[in-house]
Amino acid sequence: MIEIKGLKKKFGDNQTLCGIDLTVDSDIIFAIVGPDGAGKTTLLRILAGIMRPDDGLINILGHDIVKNPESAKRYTGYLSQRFSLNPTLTVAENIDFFGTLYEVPKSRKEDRLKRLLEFSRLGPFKDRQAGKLSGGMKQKLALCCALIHTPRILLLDEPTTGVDPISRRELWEILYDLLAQGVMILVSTPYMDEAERAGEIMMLHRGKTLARGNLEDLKSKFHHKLYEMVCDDGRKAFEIIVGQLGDDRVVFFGDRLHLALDSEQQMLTLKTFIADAGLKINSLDQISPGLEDIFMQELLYAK
Amino acid sequence: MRYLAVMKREAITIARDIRLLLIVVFFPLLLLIIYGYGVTFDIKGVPMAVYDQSNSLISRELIDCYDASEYFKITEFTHSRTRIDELLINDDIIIGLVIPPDFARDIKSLKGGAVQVLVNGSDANTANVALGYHAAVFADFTGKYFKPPESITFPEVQANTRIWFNPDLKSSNFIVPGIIAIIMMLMGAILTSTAIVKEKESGTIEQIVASPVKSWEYIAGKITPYIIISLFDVILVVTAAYFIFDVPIRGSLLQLGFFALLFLANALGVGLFVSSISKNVVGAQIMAVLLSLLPSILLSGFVFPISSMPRVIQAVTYLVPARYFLEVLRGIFLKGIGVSVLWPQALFLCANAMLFLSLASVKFKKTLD
Repeated sequence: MIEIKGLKKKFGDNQTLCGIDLTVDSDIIFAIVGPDGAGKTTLLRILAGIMRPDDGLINILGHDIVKNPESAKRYTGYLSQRFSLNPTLTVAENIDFFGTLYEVPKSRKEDRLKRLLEFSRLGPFKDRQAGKLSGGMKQKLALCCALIHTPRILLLDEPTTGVDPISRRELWEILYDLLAQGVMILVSTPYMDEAERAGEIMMLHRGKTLARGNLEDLKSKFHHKLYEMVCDDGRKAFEIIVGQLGDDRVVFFGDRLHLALDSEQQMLTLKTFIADAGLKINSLDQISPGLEDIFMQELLYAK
Repeated sequence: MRYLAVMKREAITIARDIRLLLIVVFFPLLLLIIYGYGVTFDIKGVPMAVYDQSNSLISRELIDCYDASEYFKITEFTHSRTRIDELLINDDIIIGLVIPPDFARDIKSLKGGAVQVLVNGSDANTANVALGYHAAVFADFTGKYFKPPESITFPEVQANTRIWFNPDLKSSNFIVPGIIAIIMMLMGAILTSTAIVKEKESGTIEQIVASPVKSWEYIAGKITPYIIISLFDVILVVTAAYFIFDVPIRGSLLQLGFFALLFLANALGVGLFVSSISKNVVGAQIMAVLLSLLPSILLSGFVFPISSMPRVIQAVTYLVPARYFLEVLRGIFLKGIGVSVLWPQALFLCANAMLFLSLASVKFKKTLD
């Protein structure tokens, strides 16, 4: 339903997207994950038809949106990263406004508005001005505005950035509900833990796809053995490991260190090395990799 | 429908913005009152000091001639020349009149008399006007004493001057039409460009351009409230001009409305052009002032007559819509003429409107980059 081939976009000297290929053809939540500057926003804006690519083909539900960016707009719903609703208008007025822009018939619009307010739990705030809502409520309102015309595809640009943990969980519940109703959702996020909730994940880095697949696929591509180490002086242990293996095999996770090693033998050698330096290792266990470990490894391969 | 929705959204936004509402309603009236009362090019009661050394019946008669006219106000009778100099230096007076001791005798002997008139030339315009008044008063006075003997008759040549359209030369009669043009430029160009650029700057345009709304629906919906406000302001200002400043309306109101719409198209064209090339509100406002308000004041013939501008600047004024609108307004208000005479102005307004609107539409795209 979404087909992208060789998508390129350049801003000045900065090649933001350097040839993205992507096909999403079932109703899933598809996460685009990557650090700031990876090209997530540009990709979603191009899909929403509000930015023109330099090169490439994009087909959304049979519409060539490179040739005609307007053609798929009535089937997609878009949520921008920055809150982009009129702050003076009330919650209900904002939703109603978008209902009219998408030419939702009046009778259906009212019914839909009622259901959206219920489902986003914004009902009690429907007469409040959008500018006076909390961060999480603003995102829910923006989502309602993007949903008023019952789109087939939802494009969400970092919907949970700057949103408190409870609202974040609520937003994801809403997304699962929508998925159950048969909406394809493309969501971008800088948070790896959040991307793990998605059915399929694309890792984006500096305009290139690092890896793609569901969580299991990605995990199976992890060729190293992953160890988690807790050490009294983590900082020093980190330096020792970097001295031995270079800086791309070890990452801090809070007070823990994740080590991506080639073999158990390597682990044992490293262990003695650290012990010889007089550092106490509290625990050192093999663990299953998370998305962030995979991302680090893919980054390493990309080099 | 989408057009109406955008319009409704903008109307609600304006209605809930108290500051904007105040600007829209009170600013035009304020402008009218400040300009109408304050900026008058009429000069009356020119301050004047007199040093009368003659101190005679005749010299007092001359002084009375000045005092009786409303154009001069004698603020001081001095007893020294140096005092006159002092008053001129301090800008207390514009004209100093020094009457010599022999004045009365000379007049009576019919050999002619002389007085000294000192004029403060630091404000050239006022000085010029004051000199003109002085010449008129003085000619009046000498006429009484130097009548040719009745036995000799000259064939008389007289210039009978009549001032048409504004017989009292009241400056409010031509300032007020100018203000109407300025207010419309202000509303049309500055407010609309601000309203559109504000959406770009704050990002509120992003989710709108992602919808199937068409560019023209968005733009038209966005500016319609400002068109209505501008027309409301025109009615407000014309009414105020008529009742407060007694500006005559000799032509047809319907034609006034027609030309106002034509001029509004120009103002909106400038506003849309500005909004299509600016990225933030401050930039847009500065550009809108430079492109709309300043030319409307300085290059339209409102303050400086176009005929006395350098050739190059005169050529530039052809692109200033206010220039034509001012001619139209003065024509309709004071001369009572209409399209039958003002059709060249109508054509130029049309051409300018098309130029600005097409410049704006070339630049206006429904994408973010």
